[in-house]
Amino acid sequence: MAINFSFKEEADTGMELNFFGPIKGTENIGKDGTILSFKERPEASFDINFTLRITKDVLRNALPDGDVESDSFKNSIQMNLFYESVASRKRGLIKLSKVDKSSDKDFLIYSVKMPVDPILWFGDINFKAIALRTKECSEIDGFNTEKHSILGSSDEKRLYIDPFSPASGGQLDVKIGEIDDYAGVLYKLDKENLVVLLNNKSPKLVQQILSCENKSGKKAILRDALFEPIVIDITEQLAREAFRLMLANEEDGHIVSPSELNEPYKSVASDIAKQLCSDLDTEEEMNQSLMNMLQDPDDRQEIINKDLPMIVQSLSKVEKLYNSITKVILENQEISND
Amino acid sequence: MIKAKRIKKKLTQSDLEPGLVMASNSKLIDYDFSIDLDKFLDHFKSIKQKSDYKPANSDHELSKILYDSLINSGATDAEFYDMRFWQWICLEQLYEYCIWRWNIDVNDTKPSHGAKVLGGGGVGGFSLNSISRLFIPAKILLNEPDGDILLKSFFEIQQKEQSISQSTLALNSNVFISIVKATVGLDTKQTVRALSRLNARKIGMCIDAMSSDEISKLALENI
Repeated sequence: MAINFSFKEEADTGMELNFFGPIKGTENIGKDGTILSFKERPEASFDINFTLRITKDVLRNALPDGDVESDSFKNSIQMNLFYESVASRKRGLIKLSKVDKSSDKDFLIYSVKMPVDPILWFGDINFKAIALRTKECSEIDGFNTEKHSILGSSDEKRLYIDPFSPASGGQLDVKIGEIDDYAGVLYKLDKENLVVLLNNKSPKLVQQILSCENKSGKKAILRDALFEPIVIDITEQLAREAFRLMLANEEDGHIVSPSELNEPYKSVASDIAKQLCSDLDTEEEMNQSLMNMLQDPDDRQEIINKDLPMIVQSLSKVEKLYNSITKVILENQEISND
Repeated sequence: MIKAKRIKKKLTQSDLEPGLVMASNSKLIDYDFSIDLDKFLDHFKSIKQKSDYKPANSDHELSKILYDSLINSGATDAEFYDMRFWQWICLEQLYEYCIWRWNIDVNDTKPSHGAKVLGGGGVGGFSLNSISRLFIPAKILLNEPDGDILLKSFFEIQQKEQSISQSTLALNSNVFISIVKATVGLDTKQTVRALSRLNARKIGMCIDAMSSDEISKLALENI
């Protein structure tokens, strides 16, 4: 059995950035080519080719006159590849060029080649395409008309220069083992080994149900329902630990972003940021907002004491699983009443 | 002159022994250049003897001395942005300085002290390592016409250094220079406000595409 922490997909923004052509020595570790990783750290320089496909309709909605064929569009809107590598301490923009022969009535196609000398890069590089206003236009309500406004951006792509090594794989194993801390304890999160221990001194029937491998049936429904509050509690414990790690260098004014944590803390903190800041557009903004809130002692207390117990329930399937087990119990009761 | 090295595999807190000491089984890799840290060590010894001297006051001067020592050593950006190089310098060459700079009691170290010799993995990672935090701002700023003034301003207030270094915007060297320029002469509160303003605006605006004057205008509006 395992406790899963999902990696959620971003919504389609109408701007699709892709790696174009293979990068020798890499493997795909993300869904749909989102994340590539070198199998071994490269020694020779290489190029990364990108293509950007923009749905014209989406872009039209971001422009006051909606005309993506006009000269004013060509002269005032620029497509850029934004790159950022925290471990390499690098960040910047590269202009994308329009590929006229590939663009058609529905889509605009852009491309760019980015040369990479691996001795200057560490960790991973994140990429996204952004549509940028390079000239101010007259102010109109509901439109970004300021110079340097970001009119739209694609989902992120990532390339690991240093080979990606999954930490705990975004899930925790559950094992039966010894828990000596206190009497009457059913489970414990072993933070050192990132394992959930079920107490081998707990009633055998409970152990049997919680560790049963059935994929369906009444036992499986009972197991899942009984286990879900444990998942909720473990998630809350992981969240508290994630916050502690984020604040480890607080005295230097340095708050660590969820994206910089190892799994499973990374996923847990990111999920909490998404729940807390669902009104924001990007994961980066949500993470930044969580960091700002944790830095403020009052906000931090409110998150830990008020929001967190609710959020971990919201992230779980507790409502659905309790509904299933209630139905099973009631059906059995009706049969026995008959 | 000392033959330059780096740690083979980037160290984490668990690789440190008590007292922030590198584990004895840590492996080192030789570079094909040497570094001379004598001037740094001489200056450090002279200020360390002064009983009423505040370590933070040494940052600007030591930053310049370190820059001069390393920039002509044969080291390149490949080493300057490699945390394993800075970990070696902290743990093997300038350990005593690192301990003194942060007033660390080696018999009672806190979790945050490890970062002073190891650096961090995140945005402010290089600003947490005691030596790279001195070198990298100098490398970026001292090429500017008024570089020394900018470097002095950057280290003048610790909160300023922290706020700037820990903003993702500062990963772009041009933006880093622009922010330091914009915050010359500002006090702690104004600096924090200016940075908060830029960090808030970066969501809808592309700060990386702005000129130095535009960044300055945006940062200083209504602070």
